[in-house]
Amino acid sequence: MLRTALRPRWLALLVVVLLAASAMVLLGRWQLDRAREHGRQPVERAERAQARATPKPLDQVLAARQTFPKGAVNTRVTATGHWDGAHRLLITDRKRAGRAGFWVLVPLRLPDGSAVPVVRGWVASASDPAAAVTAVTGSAEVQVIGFLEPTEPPIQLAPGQASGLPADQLSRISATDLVNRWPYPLVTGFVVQQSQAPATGPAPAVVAPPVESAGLDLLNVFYALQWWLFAAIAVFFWGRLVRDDQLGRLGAAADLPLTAEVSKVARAAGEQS
Amino acid sequence: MTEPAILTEPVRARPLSRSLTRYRLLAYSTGVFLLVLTLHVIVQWRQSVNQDIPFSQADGLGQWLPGGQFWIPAGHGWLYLAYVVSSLDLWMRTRLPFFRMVLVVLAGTVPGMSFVAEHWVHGRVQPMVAAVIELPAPSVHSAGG
Repeated sequence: MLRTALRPRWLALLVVVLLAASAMVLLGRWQLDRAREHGRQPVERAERAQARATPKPLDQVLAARQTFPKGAVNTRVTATGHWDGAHRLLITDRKRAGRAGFWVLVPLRLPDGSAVPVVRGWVASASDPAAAVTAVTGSAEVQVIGFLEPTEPPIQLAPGQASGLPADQLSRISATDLVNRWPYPLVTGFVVQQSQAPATGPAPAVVAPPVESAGLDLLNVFYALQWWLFAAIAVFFWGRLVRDDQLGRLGAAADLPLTAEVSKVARAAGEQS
Repeated sequence: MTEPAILTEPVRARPLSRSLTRYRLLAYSTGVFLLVLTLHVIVQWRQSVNQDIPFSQADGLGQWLPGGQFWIPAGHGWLYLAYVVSSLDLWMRTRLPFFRMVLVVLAGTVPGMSFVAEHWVHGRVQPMVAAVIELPAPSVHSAGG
């Protein structure tokens, strides 16, 4: 079989087939890329629309001690109040552009006495000036615009087990933890700050709103699969031709009884008609 | 070498006949679907020009057939694959000239050409099927020549 395969004509055809098959594999991969791209488009469009949307006043979307309404995730909101820098917390294990760091969480006291946790931004280390408690002192009223998110579930710890974090750090923005630390009624959600007016002291890097996971465009996934199957069929076809040659079938169809006799009779029938 | 026993078993004709029928069915379906796909693409192109939207977002025939912008291309893709497999299957049973078979396979990608290919294949393979069915049964004992 190998000797037959190495005959010049089959080697030449093998080169052609492998080139075609490689092209088809690449085409399949291109289609897979397009599947991902198409999957991202609606998510990106929604995000852009969100970013441009007029911010709604927070009290119209969610008030203190209310359950977080389902459709309110990622809503662009605006809230006006005063920072309570003394109660600022750092949330651990937050990544930005691949680097580990913290989110700076400061409560914004609202006119009605309640407060909303605001993620002012991301810092690389707890010693960053933007993370300092003093970064937001001042009694000026500020207007914050950002995206509203539901609070995160707390990490389950066994009774008596400590989280091992310093007193001013938390691992999750969890309503139960915050209620224990902050002395006022809380909005059960948090705002990821995009902008603040007027500025107060050093500001941490803005955190991008959470991204929805994008799907795959099924049509392009199908195309990719089909290209790869064609590549396999092309190679299979070459293999069959080599095997035919080896068994002396090409042109004569001699040892396949059905085809031999059939061809003879078919030719005879053709001549008679 | 003994003469090969002639196809007395009428069952032998059936696999070949079935393979041919599968091929013909798929050739016609793929051909029709490809024409629908061509129409869909033309409508998509016109929509993208008239409504000033990117081509990939134009609905094409999906405007009248819900979801058409997905299942028309998707359906054709899988049908064509089945067509290629059935062509390969028919080739393995009949060993028609392989370059012609490549043309038959490629014909499924050109609108209208799969009907031409089907006509040619049918013309070549039908006599084989007919020959198999019409051969007389008794000659099985002349296997010694």
